[in-house]
Amino acid sequence: MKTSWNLPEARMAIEALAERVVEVVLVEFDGPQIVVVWGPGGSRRLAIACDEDETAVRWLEAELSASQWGRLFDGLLSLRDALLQPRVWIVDQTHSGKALHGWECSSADLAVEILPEVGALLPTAVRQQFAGGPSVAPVELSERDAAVARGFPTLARMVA
Amino acid sequence: MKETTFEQEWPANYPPSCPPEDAAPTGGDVYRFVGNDPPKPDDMRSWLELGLGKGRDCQRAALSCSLTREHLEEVRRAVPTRRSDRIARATLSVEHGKLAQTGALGHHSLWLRHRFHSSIHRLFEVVE
Repeated sequence: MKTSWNLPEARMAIEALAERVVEVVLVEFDGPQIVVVWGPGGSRRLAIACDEDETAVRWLEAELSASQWGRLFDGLLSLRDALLQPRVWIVDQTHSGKALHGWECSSADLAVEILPEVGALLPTAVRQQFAGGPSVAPVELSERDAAVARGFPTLARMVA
Repeated sequence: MKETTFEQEWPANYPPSCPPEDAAPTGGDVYRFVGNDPPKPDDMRSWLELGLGKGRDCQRAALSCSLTREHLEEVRRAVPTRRSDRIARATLSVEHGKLAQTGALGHHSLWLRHRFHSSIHRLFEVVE
């Protein structure tokens, strides 16, 4: 990686990483950069590409409350503040999307270099595309799978 | 007897029916992240060329770009892995290739005709 990291020794179980599913890509440029993923146990997380090297992309992930999701998509919550949750996850993926390693850690341990700039919001075009924000009501696993298969806007309609 | 030569329109690594039919002809300014000033050929490698990513080969054969500089400025502020990138602009005409909005709003895929493929970096100029 390009940034020096001080990650916990204990890694997440690979089975937990395998459960991660990208629900929607919010920002891409030569590959996904900001995505919404379904984490283990059906939790929806904001994930941002925070570091990379030739073999892998390192993602910073955080669970947001319903209120925070809404404020994020309304441009009232910055990406940095959204990601600075007490508990966050770091996940390494190959450039083809295969999860390699994961760590659970505290946002207090994160270097500023791997965070969005202070005050940076979701890009304007993305906020316009998802105007009103996605519904973040808890959904059953079957609904989750259907949403993943059909796309994020569909999910918003399904669970609204 | 006059000799005729066949010049392929699109790069050989593009799959059939690529670019897609709904892609529009290029025309006007496009913006792209680059790592070098001036841009180098390595700044113009598609995911397909690099053997990265997954999904449809046609989209992976394209270059990511934006129609506005402002969008890339927002992405650069938002995404740590893009923070050190420069923003380069090219003014393209219809002959250069095709363009389509793909994925999230603000993102476009650029397919270049074969004859511009190896020299496209010379059309881009770092603007920020």
